[in-house]
Amino acid sequence: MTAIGATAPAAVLRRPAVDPGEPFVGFTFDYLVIGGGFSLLVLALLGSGTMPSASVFLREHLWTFVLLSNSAHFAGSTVRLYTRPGSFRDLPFLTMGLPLVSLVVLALGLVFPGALGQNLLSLYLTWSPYHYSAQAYGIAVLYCYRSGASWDETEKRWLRLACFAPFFYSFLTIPGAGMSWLMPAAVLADPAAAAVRGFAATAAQVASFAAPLALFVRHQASGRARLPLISLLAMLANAAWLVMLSYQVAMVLAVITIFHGLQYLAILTIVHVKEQMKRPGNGAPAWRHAAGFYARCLGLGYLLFQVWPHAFVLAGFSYAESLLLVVSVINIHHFIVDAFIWRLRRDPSYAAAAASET
Amino acid sequence: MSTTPSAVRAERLYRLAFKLGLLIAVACFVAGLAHVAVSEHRLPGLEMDPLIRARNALANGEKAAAAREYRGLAAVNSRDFDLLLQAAEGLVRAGDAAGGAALIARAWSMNPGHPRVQTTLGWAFYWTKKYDDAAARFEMALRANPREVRAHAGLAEVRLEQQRYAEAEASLLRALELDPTIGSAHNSLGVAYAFTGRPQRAVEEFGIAARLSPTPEILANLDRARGEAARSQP
Repeated sequence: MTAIGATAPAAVLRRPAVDPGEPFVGFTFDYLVIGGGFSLLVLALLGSGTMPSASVFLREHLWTFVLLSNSAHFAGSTVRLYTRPGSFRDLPFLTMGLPLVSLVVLALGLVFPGALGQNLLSLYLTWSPYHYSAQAYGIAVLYCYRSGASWDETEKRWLRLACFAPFFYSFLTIPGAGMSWLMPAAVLADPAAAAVRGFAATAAQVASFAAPLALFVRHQASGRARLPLISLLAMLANAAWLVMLSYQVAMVLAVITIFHGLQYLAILTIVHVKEQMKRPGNGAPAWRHAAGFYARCLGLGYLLFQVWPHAFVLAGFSYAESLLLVVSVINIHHFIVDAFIWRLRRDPSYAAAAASET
Repeated sequence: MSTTPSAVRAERLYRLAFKLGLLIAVACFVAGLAHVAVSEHRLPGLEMDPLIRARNALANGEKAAAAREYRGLAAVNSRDFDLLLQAAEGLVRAGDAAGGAALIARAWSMNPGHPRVQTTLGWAFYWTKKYDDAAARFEMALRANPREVRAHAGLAEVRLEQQRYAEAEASLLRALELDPTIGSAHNSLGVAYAFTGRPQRAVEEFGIAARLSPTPEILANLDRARGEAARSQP
């Protein structure tokens, strides 16, 4: 028994009934931005229709918000890849080969829109909800680590399943992607197949909300390592994004991508700043590292999404197909890069970010 | 010993691939910037709507350019039901009724009888000035789904053409209640107000429409309505 344990009353040492999680910046910032709480407030406001002026304002400035958040977040994974110490040595294909492969695939997609282009788009739309769910899982686990929880493999599997239920729902229901892309239309039109698919989609829809809640309650009741409240919020926010809202409605989709991007940028910037601050001889304050990192992400995001499609218009393709395929290829590149740079436990910077200062 | 030369070769290849990729990417960025700077005398703006060029081309009366954009969209995105319908309607507006009909047929095969297909058919009839057929399709869509925003908006456009302003106003208010971000619906509501002697309210609606989609037509409406409103002041 420690000295404190020997002298302090037991009630003082008992953990709070609900673990709120160990914030990176502060509870308000972490719950609103990283946990996704702000997105739920905004989407509820838009959905309620009580403030049409808010919807008009958002629509008016939609692409500015998309650039500031979503485009910057896509660029963020690339900036992170090339600024991470040892990336070129450890990930030669990812850093040096994948860009050229992506460019070749993009060019082929433009030349063969029917055979390749639309499949690239479907691949991106199928992968995207998986990526969102993986991010929710990553954030949930990150806060578990920060709370000092040690989870065994079985618990992590349940957590992963709970995070990925919204992906299963999206996979089953997104038009033009997921199952409707991979399965022949005749099979999907079969009444028995349609019934099974409908049942599975409903089950995934329910599980998207019920599974995280059940996991949270189970951990609360068992008294073992508990799922922090912010992890639960991140999982429920992702479920709301992918399940409760019509994923393909342009405005909603754009708003969701803005909040997903914000979440990602926040974590990425924290990792970057922590790394920079630990460098020997660092004299710059944290805000300068954060601002410099974000400025690079923003600049690259502008070049990728606003400038790049026009190059193919110059080459004779329509703006519509250029933009759609550029967006598809950037997304797929981002998903691949992301899968490598966020390999939980293997990434030393991730461990550094996960470690709580307290 | 045998692995070392192959590792060196692989690294050389990777470095070559990286340099080539970087060169192509930089060339693309420069070309994209130069293309917009030369053709439009500005830097690329913030726009990620794949149909923005098509809509602008239609607004400027460049039907061939608009049709090319819509065909490009349909070629890449034929599995997205909503975008397919938008491309179908766009092609009809751009004068390619046969191309539009083919896309509507494709959408119909994806979702037979879906209210949004009926809505697109309604708009296709509207753009070809078959107003009674258009109204029938919009009403059919609204019977299937009373929250079908574009059917409300379409029915309103038909009623405006038929000078049935009170009905147009009711449909537009319903459409904007469901989605307050449709610039064209605010514009049409402004038109309905202007034709029924409410210039001040027309200015408000044209103002919102101009914020959402500042097309030359909407900006001209706003100017005219401001003039009307100024004249009507005591």
